[in-house]
Amino acid sequence: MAWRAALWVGIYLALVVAPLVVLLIGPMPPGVGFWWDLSMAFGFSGIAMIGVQFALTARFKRASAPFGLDVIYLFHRHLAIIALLLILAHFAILWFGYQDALGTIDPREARWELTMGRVALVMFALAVVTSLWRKRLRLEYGLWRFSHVVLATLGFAAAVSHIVGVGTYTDAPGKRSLWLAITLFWILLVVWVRVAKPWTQLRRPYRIAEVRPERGKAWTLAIEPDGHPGVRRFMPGQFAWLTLRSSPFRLREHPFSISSAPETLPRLEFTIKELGDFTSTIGEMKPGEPAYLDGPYGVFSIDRHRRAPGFGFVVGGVGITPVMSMLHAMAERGDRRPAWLFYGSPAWEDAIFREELDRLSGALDLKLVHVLERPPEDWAGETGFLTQEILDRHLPKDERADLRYFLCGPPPMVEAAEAGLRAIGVPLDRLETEIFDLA
Amino acid sequence: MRRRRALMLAIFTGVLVALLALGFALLHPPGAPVGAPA
Repeated sequence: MAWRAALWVGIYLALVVAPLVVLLIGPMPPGVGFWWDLSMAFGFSGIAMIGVQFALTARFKRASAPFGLDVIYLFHRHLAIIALLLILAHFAILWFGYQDALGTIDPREARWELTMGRVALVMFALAVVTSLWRKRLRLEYGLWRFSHVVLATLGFAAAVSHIVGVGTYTDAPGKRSLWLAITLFWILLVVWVRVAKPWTQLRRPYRIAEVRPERGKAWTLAIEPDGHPGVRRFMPGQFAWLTLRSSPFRLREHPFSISSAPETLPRLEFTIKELGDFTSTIGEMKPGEPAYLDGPYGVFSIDRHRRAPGFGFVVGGVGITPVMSMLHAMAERGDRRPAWLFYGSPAWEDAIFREELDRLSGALDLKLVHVLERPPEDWAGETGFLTQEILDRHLPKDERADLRYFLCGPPPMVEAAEAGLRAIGVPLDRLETEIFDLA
Repeated sequence: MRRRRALMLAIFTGVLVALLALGFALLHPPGAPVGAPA
């Protein structure tokens, strides 16, 4: 797996530097001065990184498998900030050093290719700002998603037309074809993600088979393939993007963890907590309604650690969902490796899958540790938040360093659990985390 | 672990392209008048 990861990182780096290499090789117009040239190079670097962003979010299964799609989206986020800084630097150098070359900002009088550059800059900045602070700006997920795609695609088109329109570095005959090839590759990527993929989803529809309420304002939604075999296999703990009550072309999909085991395919179950947005409409869904699926994705699975002597699951709230998939799979397979489940819930009544976990602990070698923020009066178990002390009390000292841990829940809980586990002697490379907040 | 690696690779990419950009600006032979956009 390591060589595959290295191969994809190599391909990714090649894609990032390709436009710069085109810029550097072959005949070049004479330089204008250090700062001017630096500004141009920053512009090319920034656009190259943004071009790669489309590849990162294209959800290529082979390319994402060694890393996990969740971390690729996190990487996409980091890269967007760096790319925006480069493009801002490109503009800032011109603004401070070469005002005359920029000319007027009024689009009616400015050169069209320079206006395109400014439009691209504003769109990229908006795309980054609305993503980093989506919740603070109270932007609903569906609306954000749609605006993100529109801003990124139109911004990119504006940037490419800006480069071609200015033409200084792309006009030489050899470079023009190379640059065209790169642009074509980026356009094909966008077409693949926005047209070809939704089309394949539309041709492989699913139907809602069941919607049932769970504790803690959560719902389990079961879907079954309609007229095709459906997903052939997945690893317990993976997630998928679901489109409900909409067309796959309309970008109204949401990522959810699968809560059922691969052994019960072709039926797939997702457990979704009501969070006041789209998720609050899950309970209104009716059996028979269509659903569209993109997935499965993710590396948060016991199936990637077949030699692990046992497992530690540390979850909070609806973070139990992927762990349920793993526990169900272990039960179906008769897997008797020891497992510890630390499960934080606000209250006993809100502990999703409470009864099912009791049943599963009979079929598995599972030690269940509920941690309640607001325990009932007669509660004898752990209370408050998940702490190092709680982990230390329940994990056997001689086995804890060898277990494979899966952490899933709100970021503060996951960070506290990471720190707690490390403090009691668990090596960092034994921890697997699912990054929840993709945006 | 994966988070840290993602951050490191992003920073590495940023440094790599910034160095290439710097190389371009330093090595590019001068000639055209300053301020000419095209």
